[in-house]
Amino acid sequence: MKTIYSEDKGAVSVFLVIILPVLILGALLVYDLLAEKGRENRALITGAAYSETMLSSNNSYLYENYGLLAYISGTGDEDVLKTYLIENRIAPKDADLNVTMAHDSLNRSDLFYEATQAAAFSVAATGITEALVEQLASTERFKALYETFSDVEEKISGIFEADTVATQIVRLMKKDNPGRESEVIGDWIAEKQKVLKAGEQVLEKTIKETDAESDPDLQGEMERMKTLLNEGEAWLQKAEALRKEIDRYSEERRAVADELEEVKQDIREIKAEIERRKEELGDTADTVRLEEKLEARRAERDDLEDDLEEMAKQWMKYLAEQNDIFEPKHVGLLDTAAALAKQLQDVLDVSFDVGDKAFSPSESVIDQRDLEAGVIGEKLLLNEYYLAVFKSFDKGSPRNFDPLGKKDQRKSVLDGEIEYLIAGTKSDSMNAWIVRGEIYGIRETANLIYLLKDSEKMKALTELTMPIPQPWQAISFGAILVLWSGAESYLDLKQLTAGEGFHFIKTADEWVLELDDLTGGNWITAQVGSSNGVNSDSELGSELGLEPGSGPQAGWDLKIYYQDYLRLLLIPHSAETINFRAMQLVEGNMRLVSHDAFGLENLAVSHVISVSWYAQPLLRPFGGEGHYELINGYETR
Amino acid sequence: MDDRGSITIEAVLSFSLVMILLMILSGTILTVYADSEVEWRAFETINTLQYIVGPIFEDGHSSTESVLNQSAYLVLSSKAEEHPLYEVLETDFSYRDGIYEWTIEYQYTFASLFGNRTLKLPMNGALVTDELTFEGATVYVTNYGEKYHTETCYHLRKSKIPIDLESAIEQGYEACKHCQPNVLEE
Repeated sequence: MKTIYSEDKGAVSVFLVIILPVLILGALLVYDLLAEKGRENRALITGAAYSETMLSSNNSYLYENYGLLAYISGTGDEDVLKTYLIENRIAPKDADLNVTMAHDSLNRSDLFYEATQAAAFSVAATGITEALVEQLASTERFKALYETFSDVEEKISGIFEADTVATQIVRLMKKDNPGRESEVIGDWIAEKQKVLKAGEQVLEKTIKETDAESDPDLQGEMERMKTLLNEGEAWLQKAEALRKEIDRYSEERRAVADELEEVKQDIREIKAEIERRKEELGDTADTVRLEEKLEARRAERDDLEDDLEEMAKQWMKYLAEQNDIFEPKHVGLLDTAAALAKQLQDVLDVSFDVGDKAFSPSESVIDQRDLEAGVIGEKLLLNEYYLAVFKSFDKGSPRNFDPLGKKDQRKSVLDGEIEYLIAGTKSDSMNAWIVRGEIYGIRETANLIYLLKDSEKMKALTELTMPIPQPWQAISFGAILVLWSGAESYLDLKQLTAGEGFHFIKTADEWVLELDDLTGGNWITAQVGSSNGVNSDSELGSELGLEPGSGPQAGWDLKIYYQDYLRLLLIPHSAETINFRAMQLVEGNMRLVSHDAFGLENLAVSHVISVSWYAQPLLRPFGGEGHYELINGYETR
Repeated sequence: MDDRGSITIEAVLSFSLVMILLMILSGTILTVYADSEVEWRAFETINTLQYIVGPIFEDGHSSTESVLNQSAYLVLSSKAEEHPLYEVLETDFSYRDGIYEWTIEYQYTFASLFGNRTLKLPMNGALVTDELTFEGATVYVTNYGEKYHTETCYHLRKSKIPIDLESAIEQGYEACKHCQPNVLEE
């Protein structure tokens, strides 16, 4: 009998009714789970895209005036992002979404530092080539001058030991038989001749190495060294001549003294003979001839004593004519320069190591915190950035570069912004006073060195003070020297702030004051220079095909301007201090122009976006929540 | 014999339906991967475009959106060819809330439960400025509007009258929310 239902028909029905729905549900469940991941991915991409748009929209004021990149953080940012998230199917409605944004504002000093570093690479790069390398070239030149000055003079100064020679000669004169002492002095003189020769060789070598023959700054120094060598040679020759004269006088004196001694001996013998005869023969002794001989000998003795006296007088007269050999020709320039270098060090706290890295920031210059943080190179770059974007009192100077073209027109709370970075007071006049005082100290040292190098000026000063008795002469000499360099330094300041520049150690052309001007009081009203620097050779960098680290080339402007002194004075301050002051400046300027509506706290450089949502799952009774946190911008967290 | 023939027809029909259903379900699952591909390629396109066409973002005229749209479409389409899971149908650029918005419409190249999809991403040039300079605050108003705007705001396309910021505030104008010109706290 056939049944209505077949076993075969039942298999298909089981598959369709039981297995297929399970498969469908399973697939939908898998999709549900994967969709949750996909939603998270979409939310992240939407958030990242919005984050990038926020970071790319930079405030015009900060960018155009300071090269800083920062955006204004607004309260509506969360709502805009929410809109995008809903439209991209992250959550069905607003209530299921939670978006928070935390902005890192520029009023944090570490973020401000990072922002200025980033700006420095684009803004300051043009300035570095023009300014820093010139500065290095100028300091290299100064270093060469100083090395020349100290190295050669050290060799030559050893010759002028006038006290030693004078002492020896006086000792010689006291002796009747100089003998060995004369030889000792002779040996000493011969030794000094060798020192002189060594000095000559060092000088020749220095001339060759520094190419002093063609260098106008070094020629004066080389001439002075050559003169010094010639004077040393002449001095030693005089000393040798004097020693020989001493020998000759001693010989003659000895001969006369010996003769006198013989005559005296004769007189004693004749007297003794006369006494003996009178004792033997009584009054009858024939002593007439002996007495005549005695008289003759006595006369001879008197003549010889007169001769000796005359010789002594002639010798004293001769010695008086050789007086200059006892006066030191050398005024101790080396010691003076060392003292002046110490003064410069005190002004700047600069290590004046003329070995390998003269006048470059040494460990003693840089703040210990900078050294530990390893930010020396960044600091020098940042200093160039500050000089590029902030104002200073030397407006119009050729070295006062303005790559953004906004510096002079920008409204600001202070006119001397760089001076504020250095001095740190809130008053323009006080900052100017402090900075100019420091520059004055540097210039006074440099000008003192120039004066000491200039033989004509030294001669004029010596002649002026010659009538003054010692020890007041030395005091007057020093006082006028300091006054002279100080007055010149005062005029230097006027020139620098007027936009002029000159070499660190001035050349003869650049020197303004003569001694007559000083004593006549003319320096107070002296007109110096024009109102703006006129050296057009300062177009460096790419125009000259400059390579970093290359040495001075023809056509370079190697003068040092006010900006260069500011550059120098920024170095000793820590990066942290300068950064903080720069922040104060930007904040103040921004509040000034925005009528206090905007400050650094309104400008952000990074943010954290936190997004949470809930989307009802398709099949599951659990899950559906999602969350992510995105950090973008300067990563300082 | 009749029973077997009816089983075969039923089995074939059932099997076919099941296969179709499974294909659609598989495709639906695959849409998650395809969506992820579209989103990442679009993000890459944004990163590429913002540096290349950066200066164009400063413009603010309608031609900017056209240029951006064509560029973005070309770039994204070429990326789509590397991953044939989706096809870009249309892209559109518009300016909203001070930033550009890129809308991408795409469809899957395989069977799925879903039809066309849309993705919207915000975009800006690599370096654009917000026109807020604080100084010499000159803003612009329109003949009939009640808001003041920056010079390049979209809403100035019909009329553009320069006015000092402080005067604008005194006269009762409010800041435009789209271009966010200088805003003074009251």
